[in-house]
Amino acid sequence: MFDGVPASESVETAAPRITLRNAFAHPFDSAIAAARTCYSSRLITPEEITDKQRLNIGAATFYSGHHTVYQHAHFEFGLENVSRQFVWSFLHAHPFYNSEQQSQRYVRLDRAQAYIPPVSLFFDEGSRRIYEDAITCLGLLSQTLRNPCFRCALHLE
Amino acid sequence: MSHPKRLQKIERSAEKRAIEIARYVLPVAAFTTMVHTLSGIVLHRLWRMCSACDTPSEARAVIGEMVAQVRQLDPQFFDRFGTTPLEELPEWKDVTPTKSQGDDFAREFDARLSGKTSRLLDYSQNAPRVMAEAYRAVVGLTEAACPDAEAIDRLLNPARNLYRLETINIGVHAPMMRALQHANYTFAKKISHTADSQDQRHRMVPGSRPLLTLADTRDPDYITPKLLADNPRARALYDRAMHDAWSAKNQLLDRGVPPEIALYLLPNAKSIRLVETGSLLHLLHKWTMRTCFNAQEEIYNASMDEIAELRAVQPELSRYIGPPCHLRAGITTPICTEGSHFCGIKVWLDFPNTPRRI
Repeated sequence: MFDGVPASESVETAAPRITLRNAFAHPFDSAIAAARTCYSSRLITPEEITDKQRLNIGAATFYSGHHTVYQHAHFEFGLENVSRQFVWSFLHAHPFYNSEQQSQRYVRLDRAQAYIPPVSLFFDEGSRRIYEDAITCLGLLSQTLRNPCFRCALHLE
Repeated sequence: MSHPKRLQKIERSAEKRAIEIARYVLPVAAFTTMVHTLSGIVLHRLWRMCSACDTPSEARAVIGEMVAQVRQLDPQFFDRFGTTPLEELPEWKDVTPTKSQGDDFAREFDARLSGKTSRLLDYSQNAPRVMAEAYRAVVGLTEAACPDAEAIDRLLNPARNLYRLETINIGVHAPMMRALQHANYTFAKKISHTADSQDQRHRMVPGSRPLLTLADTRDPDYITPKLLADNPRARALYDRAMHDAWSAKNQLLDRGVPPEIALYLLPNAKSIRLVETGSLLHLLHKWTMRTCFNAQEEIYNASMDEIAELRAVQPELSRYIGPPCHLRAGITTPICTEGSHFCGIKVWLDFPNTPRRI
């Protein structure tokens, strides 16, 4: 197991940072206007939507499964400090998204930056120490593998 | 190229390969940064399903914040409906994992792979005939006017079908190419977490991927890049990292730490076993991209296995499958679409037999 973690080494962690970078100005009214257009002889604009229509058409479309009206509005987020496990297991586990993600193939990571769960009843200080030490050591071993003394034997031609 | 420039190029290439290998050791807890865009209804669905993954706490925090920011912009988009996360999910209700099941499952799955990275599980047995029928339906031809072999050649031969030379993926927009949607192929494959992070982005070839918290293995279970095979010192360091990662993960589990937390210590090298299905239309795109020598090693190997499997059962479909240079040579220029990243090897002269060195 991991031992001898240098005292100077530690894992950098932070809360996830989510930034809404771009969005529709009126996503809900746009959805209701789209729904009304299905039954209108002309194009309906979001500015025309009334409170009654919000109430009635909103419920009628959402609860009966007419969900394409809520697919017009798109939201572009910036995500920082999220784990690769989360991205793999959840964000990219379905087809309906667009994503550009920092690559570990092209971006050198010289400091261990990783998700660390909050201490809890099932994740005490001792467990957290084991967790952090493991991440620190994996980061150091990864750095060592990038070292030129290992590179020379990679049989590049 | 002058000697110093050539050395510089080799050094840059070596560094790139070293970074590629080194990333296998990093834990899946490692942070990433991204731009992520989705529609309103998908955000509703993600919020509802945020427990349906290996990272429910992190998912709830991240998706919750995304919902909060949209709510701030337009409260009605969420407040009108009261979407809340599902709490009890059937994947966990009907499965009682024991520590031996993940290891046994891995052994069983690997035995079926027989040493391959990817193996054909099932396929549309009448694919050539059905695709030919579909082609004739698009262009309004009788079988006498366009027999099956002729239809398949018109669909797949890049000398006769200019869509196959396009570098933007226009397949679903080309009426005749939609005939390829009727042939489907299912593969069982094993690749690393880091390779699968790329493989899963081919979202038109969807896969059934493991919930690692249910399929966890007590024993180290990882992929070793081929570049390490001839480097005993690096290989020893790599193996040590893997064993240490599993020891730390197992130690946490033994202390009663939930798998959700302990499994963040798994390295990117962790083996992912999945079953994947795609139509020939979308597989063609994937295979064209990933049989190029510039593709990552694992996804290249998986793709080469897949087209070899296809060749074994439907050789008439496999002649025009391969990297862009294989499709373009003798028909158009440039032969290689990689520009300055050209691998330097004339793969098109003897594909699929040209050996990939790294």
